[in-house]
Amino acid sequence: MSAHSQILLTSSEGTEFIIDRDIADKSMLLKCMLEDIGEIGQAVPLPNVSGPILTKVIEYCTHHRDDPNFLSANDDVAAEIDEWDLEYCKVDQGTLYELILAANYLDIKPLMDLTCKTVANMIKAKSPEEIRKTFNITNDFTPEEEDQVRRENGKGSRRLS
Amino acid sequence: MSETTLLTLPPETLFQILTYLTRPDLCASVLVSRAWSTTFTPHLWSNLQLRAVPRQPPRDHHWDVLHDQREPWFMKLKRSILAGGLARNGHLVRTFVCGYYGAVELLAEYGGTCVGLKELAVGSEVDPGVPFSETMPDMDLTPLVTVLERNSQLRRVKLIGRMLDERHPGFGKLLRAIPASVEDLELKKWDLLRGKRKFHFQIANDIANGIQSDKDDDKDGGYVSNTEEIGYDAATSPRFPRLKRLALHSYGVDINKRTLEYVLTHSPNLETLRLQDSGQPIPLKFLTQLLSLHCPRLINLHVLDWHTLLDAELAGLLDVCKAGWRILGLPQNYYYEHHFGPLSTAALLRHAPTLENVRLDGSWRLPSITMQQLLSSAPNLKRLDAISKDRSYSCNFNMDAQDIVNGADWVCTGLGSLKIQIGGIPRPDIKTHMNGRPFDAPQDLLHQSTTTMTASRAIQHKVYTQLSRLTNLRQLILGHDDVERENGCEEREAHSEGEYYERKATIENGYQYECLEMTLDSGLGLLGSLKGLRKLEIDAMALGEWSAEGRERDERWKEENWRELERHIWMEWERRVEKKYSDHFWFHLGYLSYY
Repeated sequence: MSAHSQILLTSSEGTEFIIDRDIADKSMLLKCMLEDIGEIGQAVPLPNVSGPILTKVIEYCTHHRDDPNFLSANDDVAAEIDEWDLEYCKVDQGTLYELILAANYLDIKPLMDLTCKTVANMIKAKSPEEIRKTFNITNDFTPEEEDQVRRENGKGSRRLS
Repeated sequence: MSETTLLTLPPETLFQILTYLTRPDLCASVLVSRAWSTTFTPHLWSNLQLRAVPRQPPRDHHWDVLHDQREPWFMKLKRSILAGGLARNGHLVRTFVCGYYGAVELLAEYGGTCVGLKELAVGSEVDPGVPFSETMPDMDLTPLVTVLERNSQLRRVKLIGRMLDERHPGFGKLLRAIPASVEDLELKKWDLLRGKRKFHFQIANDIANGIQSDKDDDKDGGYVSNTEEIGYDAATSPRFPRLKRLALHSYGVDINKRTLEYVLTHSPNLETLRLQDSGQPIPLKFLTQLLSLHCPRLINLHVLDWHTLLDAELAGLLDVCKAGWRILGLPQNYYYEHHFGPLSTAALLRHAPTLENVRLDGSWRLPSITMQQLLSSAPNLKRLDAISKDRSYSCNFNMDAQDIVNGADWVCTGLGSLKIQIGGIPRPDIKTHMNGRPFDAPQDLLHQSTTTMTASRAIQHKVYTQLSRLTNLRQLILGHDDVERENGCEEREAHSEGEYYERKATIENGYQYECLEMTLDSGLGLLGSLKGLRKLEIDAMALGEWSAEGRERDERWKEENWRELERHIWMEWERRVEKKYSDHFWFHLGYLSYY
């Protein structure tokens, strides 16, 4: 099987994407599928992934095409996210969640790690109020409830701002 | 189609996001809104690990440092439990870890809903408000018993501290309360400093001399005869059918023999036994008998820094395993030696066919030929360590190249990591110490011989050839940078007439002068077969001399042949690379870590 063979994918809207085999192999789902059934020349339908998201995913896999440490790239929890990846994740929240779902479905671990880390970084080291602002959430606690939750969870009433 | 939000992500995905968050982050998250509270609370409560990790781990017993950092955590837990947090969220708790006994009391009193624990690690490392020097009153074990009895699904139980004394009233009850579901049991740090027991040298010597334990009761006088309480009646069904791993860590086995007997006789499926940091004698014959009678499935053994073992005793322990050891961790340090002798060496080699993971660092008593025999008869070996982290007393095992030359081919082709010093190679090219000082004392000259460089290269060629068979090596450590340099300090040397004289020694302990040159000229090219090599350490070794173009050629060769090589350390005192004993490396390769 030549490394340069190409694969046809169809997004949820039916848009067709032609990608190189080695890029498709970054997705464990596609890799296993292609290994199991071989390349049948037909399009592989991806009903859970929309066209714009699939474009994004392909962009990621193409950028990391020759990355020798691809699978262990984001293993280190404390490691800094590299610049390209950081730029890549500068999308609106809806897209970010769609990317998480796509990475999960296609089983692309480094992309999954990257996007989850990005979401976690939106929560990290913030006060509840700041989190509400970031995620556009209204506080629906009554003051009593809020106080109870605060005490039960070992959170002092003072918070470092 | 409704927009995906954070909270509508699939649970496993959300869980991954949460793993990147710290406890304070989760605490902030539950206060965001009702929906967030519902989603995040289970994660906040499922894992209660109340331990502050000090930035700089305190050295020795500077408990006060640790204490200061831990107390706020404990107080926080206490406040939240008193506010009803545990009563409401107890069913969510899966892991509970806290070194304060006070936490156990809180858990017993307010944790009525906390019945689904999988992991419990509690004890009496140090409690707030009790100064280190002050003797604690006898501990009430009832709360701990209550917690254990409530949780019938516990998989991992770790008990730390002073309650681990079978003379303690109620200890039998405690043992009986450990649920049958337990798979991993660890008893740690029986407090020698504040315990009633004094280290008993007489008993230590008796045990070491093989006078057996029957009379210990009379001698020590400390045993309460509470066999009935512990529940000794040889049960027809084992108490711990699922127990796979037992670890005794700084535990007074010699005085808690009944506990040991109770646990071992009731654990027919035990696979791993780890004995660590005793600094105390161990009733080894007793242990060996128990293991051979009751633990037929034992295949992994770690004996770390245990008190001096005798050859026959060690052989007895090694013979316990009938199925063949898989993991054998027998590291040594200067003070506690396993006396590898003819019996234990033979016992070790008998297990060669099954051995996968072997640690013999610091075993300077192990004959070099044994290592050669092991490497040529252990086809399943994945990891072999014979270089210790602590080389300060040059107690390292040193493999003699002569044995390699005369020995059979190495068969452990699956070996992933090899850490070993290979010495005994005559190196006429080395004329001085690494710091330029000429060799002066007679023992310094051992390595210098009349051998020619050609003969030296012939020996090296054979060693390289053996190494080249290990085609799956990922990590090869022939020398590493943790070498103690004593500059001009006084060292007492035994003189042949039995006198002592003071010698001004500048010894670089662990520095190797009779090693491989590691140059292409000396035959390094044979190692081109190690295609997967990722880490090479040849620090603190007297490497061969390069010409200017020779070094360049060697570097180029390495780049071309060892494409995976991430890190290699050449001998260079001035540019010492930071110490990195990466056990992470092993996790990535999917091997068991030793610890």
